[in-house]
This record gives sequence, structure tokens and C-alpha cells, in this order.
Amino acid sequence: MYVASGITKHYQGVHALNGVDLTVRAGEVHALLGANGAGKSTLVKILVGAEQPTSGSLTLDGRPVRFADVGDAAEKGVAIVSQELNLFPDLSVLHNLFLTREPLRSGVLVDQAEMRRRARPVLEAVGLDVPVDRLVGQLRLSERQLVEIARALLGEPKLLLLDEPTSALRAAETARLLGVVRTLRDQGVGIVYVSHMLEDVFAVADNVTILRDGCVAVAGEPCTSMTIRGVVGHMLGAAKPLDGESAKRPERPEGEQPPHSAPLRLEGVAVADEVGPIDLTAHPGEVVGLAGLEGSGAHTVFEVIFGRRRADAGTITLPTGRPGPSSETQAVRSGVAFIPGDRRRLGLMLEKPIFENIAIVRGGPLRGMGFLLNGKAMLARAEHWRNRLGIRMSSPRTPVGHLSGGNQQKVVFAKWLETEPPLVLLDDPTRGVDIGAKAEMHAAVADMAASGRVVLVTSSDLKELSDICDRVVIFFQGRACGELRDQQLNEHSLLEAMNTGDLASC
Amino acid sequence: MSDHDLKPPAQTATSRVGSDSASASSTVRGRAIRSAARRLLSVNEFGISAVLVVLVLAIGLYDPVFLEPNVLLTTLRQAAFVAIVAYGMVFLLAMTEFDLSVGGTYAVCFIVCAVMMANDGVNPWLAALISIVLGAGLGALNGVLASLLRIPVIIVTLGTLSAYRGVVTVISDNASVRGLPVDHAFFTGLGDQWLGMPVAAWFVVVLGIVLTIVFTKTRFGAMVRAIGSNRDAAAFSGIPIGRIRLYALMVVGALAGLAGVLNLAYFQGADPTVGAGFELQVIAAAIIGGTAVTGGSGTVPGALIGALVVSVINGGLVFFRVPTTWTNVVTGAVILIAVGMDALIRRRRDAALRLTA
Repeated sequence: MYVASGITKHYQGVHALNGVDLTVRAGEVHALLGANGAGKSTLVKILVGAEQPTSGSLTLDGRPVRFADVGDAAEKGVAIVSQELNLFPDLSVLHNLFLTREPLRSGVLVDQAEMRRRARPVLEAVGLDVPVDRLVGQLRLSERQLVEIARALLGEPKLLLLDEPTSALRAAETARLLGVVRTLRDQGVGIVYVSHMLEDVFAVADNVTILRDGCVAVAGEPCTSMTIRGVVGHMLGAAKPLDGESAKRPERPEGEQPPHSAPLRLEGVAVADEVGPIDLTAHPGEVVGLAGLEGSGAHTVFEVIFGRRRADAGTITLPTGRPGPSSETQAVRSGVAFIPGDRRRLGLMLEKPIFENIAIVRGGPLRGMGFLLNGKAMLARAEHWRNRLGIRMSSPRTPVGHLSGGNQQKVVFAKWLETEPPLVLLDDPTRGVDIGAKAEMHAAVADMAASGRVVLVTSSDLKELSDICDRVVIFFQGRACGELRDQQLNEHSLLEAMNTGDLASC
Repeated sequence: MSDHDLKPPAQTATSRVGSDSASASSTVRGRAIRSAARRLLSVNEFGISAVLVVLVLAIGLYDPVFLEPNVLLTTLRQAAFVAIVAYGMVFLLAMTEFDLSVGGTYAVCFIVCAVMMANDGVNPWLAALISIVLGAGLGALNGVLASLLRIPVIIVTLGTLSAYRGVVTVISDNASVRGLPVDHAFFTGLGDQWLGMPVAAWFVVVLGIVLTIVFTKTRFGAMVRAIGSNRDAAAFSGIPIGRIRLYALMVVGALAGLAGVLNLAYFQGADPTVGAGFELQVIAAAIIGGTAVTGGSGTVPGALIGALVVSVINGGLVFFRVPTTWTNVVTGAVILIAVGMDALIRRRRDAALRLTA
């Protein structure tokens, strides 16, 4: 049993946590929930020794513990599988599993055979069936996630923290991972499960603790006594509306004209043996989803429209009337915006101030702010987007990496909306974002369409697709095999169509 | 930031003027001084500037001859050639690239300029201009090779460094160039002093101001920093990475050409071994000045201070009568100490600023 009691953490005068208690028993899946800024990540860091609490204590199986760092915690039985995968892409699965604790032969040589022998049971436990000599960089995201879990299991932890384990996974993979979590629980491991995916939480968790504003709002209640709606209420508090707001299409804001009114057209677009030929037309004011399993081609279409790959056949006509771009620079200059889900890697300069991040596309490749950049004007634009998108920040000069995930993603939205793009590509735009920020971003997407932009979306969250899209084009084995709209469009029909390529039954 | 901190206490002070005006105003003054001190401390180049002052004073105390104007001027001139190129290196480091070929470019431009004047009778000013353009061209060649072969600039320039140096040997036939028109205004003007400073130092001042503005305030500078900060995000933001890199390499090449020309004007002789180890001095100057090799940020004025530190160390060793065989060892050690002290001062300062913030 792992008990945290009275955990308080101050950061430069800010109370991130205020007397938080948490008890996790062996053989229990304990969900830890909270909106952005509720103190969830701080608590996780303290639980695994990445940070020290200002006050409060940790006890593991009745004995008080103090962890010097994450490695120390893992040795003492508390391991974490984090949201940002901490794997080495250039090393094999086997070497990733045993890094820094390789079994040795004669004290110097790495004992490959022993590593293989010991790796087998943990890989089986997580259901990962790939050659152990394969480089981790060649694995799929979901497989890497399983490698991370397997690595944690090698230390035979008493307590395992899973931080957003399913946020990058697709439905089938998620189901598999949740199965692994249940197996581990049945073997007596205590599991803290941190996630924004409430349905996954309900599918796997026994008890739930909810943090709000650094305090415990719900303390270890059984999941069976709660509903998703109730949980959302506890997470957001009384002040915020629950949901339903997001789906509504707002009126076009005054004074803003639709930048362009031509549609995006793809005619006979094909990429090698991956995609096509595909025809697709998306009109201004429309939110069109592209859905498909990995390798189905949905994502390749995005890459082609954004100039990252060249189509081997067919023609693309952008809403600006320009042809398909041959580079990202050309795409951006032809009025295409790309909002990635992997904001830390592809979206932001984390150590740079918010206002610089917002200005970089318009001021950089688009040459929209002249040769000499005006700091005051850039700050004013950041203030504009702070109000427009509700970015919660202390100042536009704050490094964007200091913001919570949801607010970081709003900065990515701002940086692209700043360019007034006629075409917006959203690639899993709300990955790992809490439910409140998600609703605000969905409203922003609706707003994009209302102001006359063409909007294309892919998402690993099928509910999101069905909520925000006017229609969703289904990709199956490299072909667009039809589309779902109106009443036909829901999570179930999407999942079925993506897996079968058959829309007749929907 | 410090302005904000100043306001509230100032208001309380005026409200208390009637009862306790003397102590209140002294508090205000104390705070103002502390605030000014903090502003000075928070300048990024503070640490390395302090190191520079300490170095100069230490050598001067040991042997006051070091502080005599003509010795200081020589030190300054040496620093000038390094600083001019280090300015450009800041741009490259800020986008996590290295140009190792600057020593080669510097030498090629130097020798080509000399040969044009001496052997071909080209007007010295024209020869100087051609050499600077040639420098930019050699930089462009680095950039084009890096893009075409898709290999990092550091590898390309490892090759071109050697190649450019070879070109110098070929052109000069490995002998000093003779017959320079040393009476020409090019030599008497550029090689001399103006308003008490070597002309090369004036170039350093003007270029320092211009390139600081380019680095911090222009679209080009912003894109350079963006690439170094997060290359993937820069690509996804539509920043033309290859082209920006090409421009940065051309800037560095042109600056190396200019440094070569200025060096020729001063020395009035053209030795083919010129600028051996120059590239390492340039990179050291930029890094000592506070430009991180991890990219994303940099400081043009810092590169000047870094160049001065390198030059002071090299000049100072003479006064400490270090045996010439040991010069490189001692230079290396002093550079490490200087950078270490700067890092220490930075950490202390950051901690102090956090406490008072």
C-alpha cells in the first residue's frame, strides 16, 4: 500500500498542491483525475520522486519513504510510465528494456542471453510481439508504449504510475493496453492511472481521486458510484458548463470576412502504393474529418496537402487557387495551416516566450510583419489571442513551456489563426488536453469554419471527430471508401467503418 | 520587470512623507540603486564581462606594461579579426550549426586579395570587394553542399576547411606574396587608426550594432533562432530551413572575407600560413561570449567580449613568460576557467534574481 498524506507543494509562492492525501492499495487501479492546472502532474512527480514535496509524507507498505530521484523510486518499487516516452529510438527493444541495469557476464560483457530470457515474460505480460532486436525507432507508437511498460515491469514494481497511457493510441490498441493494466492489477500491482480519457478510466479503474485547484475534490471513491458527467462536474467545479456548448456553431465574429471562398479539391491524388487515387472536395465553412486506421492513408493525405510529400498522380487545388505545394514553406505561403497534436515536438519553441511563438509563422515565412519585427505589435497580438482563445498565462513573455498542455495547444492555434489561413489541417488537435480546454478548442474549430475557412481534421479521439465534423471521410487500405454524416456519424459507426471499410451497415 | 517592482514602494514612500520623509526617501534611493544593480546583473553578458575586467586587471597588476595604450591596441586589433567572424558564428550556433571552414575562407580571401593587388595590379579597393564577395561565395558553397548532399554543415565544412586551405597553398605557391602596393590608401587607411582606435575595431563596433539588430529584431534573426530552438517545429511552421542556413553561411563567409582583408591591410604582407587555428578561436569567442551550442539563442555583443577574452589571454601569456611550448596548454586552461567562472556567476546571479524577484 502506497500512502501520500498531507502533500503540499509551493512553486515560488504558488500553491500547486495543498494538503493532498492519496492511498493506493495493492491490486487496485486508482485513477487520478483533474483539469489542467489542478496539480495532477505535480502530484505525479512527487509520487515518483521527480520532485520533493514542500511538506507531507510518503509511506510504502507502512514504512516512510523518501526518493532521491525517479531511479531511486523505481528501485524501491514505485515506477512510472510517462506520457513523453523516455525511450532511445536508436537502441533495440532489448537494450531499451535493460538500459543501465544490463546483466553482466564476467562482470564486463553484457549478457544477451540472460537479457532475452528475462525479457520474455514481461513482453508476454504486456502482449508485445515484436523481435527484441528491432530498433525502438522502428516501432509504432503503441508498441513503444508497451516497451515502456515492460521496462517498468522488469523492476517488479509494487506501484506503477501510468501517465496518459492511451492518449496516443487507437481504439484497438487502447483495449489491449487496458487488458494489460487489468492483468497487472490481478497480479497484485498497485496502479495509479492518470488520464484525460474518461471512458478508459471508467473501463479500467476501481477507485478515483479527483484534484481541483491543488486540493482533493473526490477522495478515492469507487468508480461504480460515479458517472462521467459527475466526474466532469467535480473536475471543473460548479462554475463551468459541462458540455453541449462545444458542438454549437457560433455566429461569424463581426468585422471578420471569410478570407477566401473557394473549396479545396483533390482529384485522383495518389501516393505510390500507399494512397489513392482519391477525390475529395471540402468547402469553405465545412469541417471535414479524415478517419482511418494507421496506414489507411488518411494521414498521408495530410502530408501531401502540407507539402511534406509529393503526390505521384492527380491534382490538388488549394482554396487560394494554388496547386499542391512542394514544401512546407510553399504550403504555408499558399494559405495552409497545420495544427499538430504533438505540440512539444512539432508545434512550439518551448523555451521561447508565448508572443514569439505566436508571431513566428506570420512574421517569418509569411513576411507579414516587415523586415524589422516590432516587439510591441507582437505582444499586442498575443494579448488579442489570450482574450480570443482564453489562453491562461501570466504574461505573453512567459516561455510557452511553462503553460499547461491545453494552454500550450491554444498557443499553437493562435500561431496559425494569426496567419488567417484559408485551409486549416488539424492533426489530432486535442491530444492529451483536458476536457475543459478541449471544449474551448472545439469552439475555436467551429469558429474557424464559421469564418469561411476549409477545415480538415484527423483525430485518435472518435468522439471528437463525430462531435466537431460535419462529415467524416473513411479511409480503408489506401482508399476513401465513403463518408459518414448527420445521424450516421457517431463513435460506433466510425470505429466499425474504419475497421471494415464497409459503410453499408451504418 | 524591475520597473514594476519599483513602483509600489515608491507610492508607499510618498504617502508616508509627512511623518518619516528622510528614511522613506532613503529607502526609495536604496531600492533604486538595488534595482539598477539588478538590471546590470541581469544583462546576460555580465558574467563574462566581469571575467574580462578581472583578466585585464590581473595581467596589468602583474606587469603594468600590458596596460600601455599600444599594447592594449594590439590586443584590441587581434580581437577585432576574431570578433568580426564570431558575430556570424553566433547566427550559426543559434541554429545549432558549426562552420569549421571560416579559417580557410579567411585565408583564401586574404591571399586572393593580396595576389590580385600584387600580381595582377587590380585596384586594392576593388580587390577587397571581390574578396569579400568571394568569402560569401565560399560560404554559399558550404550551404549548397550541405543541402545537396544532405549532410550537416559541420561535416561539410570539415572538408571545405581542408580544401580552402589547400587553395591558399596553391595560389600562393606556399610563399609570401611580394610587391603589395603598401603606399595605397587601402593600406594607409584601413591598416591605420581612426579617432584613437584601429580601423578594424570601428568595423567591429558598427557591425556589432548592425548584427545585433539583425539577430534580435529582424525576420531573418527570428527564423534563425526558431530553427535552433526546435528544428521540427520550424519546418512545420513553413520556415525555409535550407535557405536560412544558406544565408547565414554566406554572412559568415563574407565576414571571414572582410576579416581577411582587414588583416591584410594591417600586416601589409601575405603569409600563406595566415589564420592557422582561426576557426577555433572564432568558435571559442562565440561560446565564451554566451552563445549556447544547444541553439535557439545567442548574443552578438557577447561574441565581441569572448573575442576580447581570447585575445587578452593570448596577449597576456607573453607577460607571464610562459614558455612558447606551453602556450596552447595554458590558453586552453584559461579559456576553461573563464567559461567556468562565467557559468558560476550566471548560476549565482540567477539564484539571486529569483530570491529578490
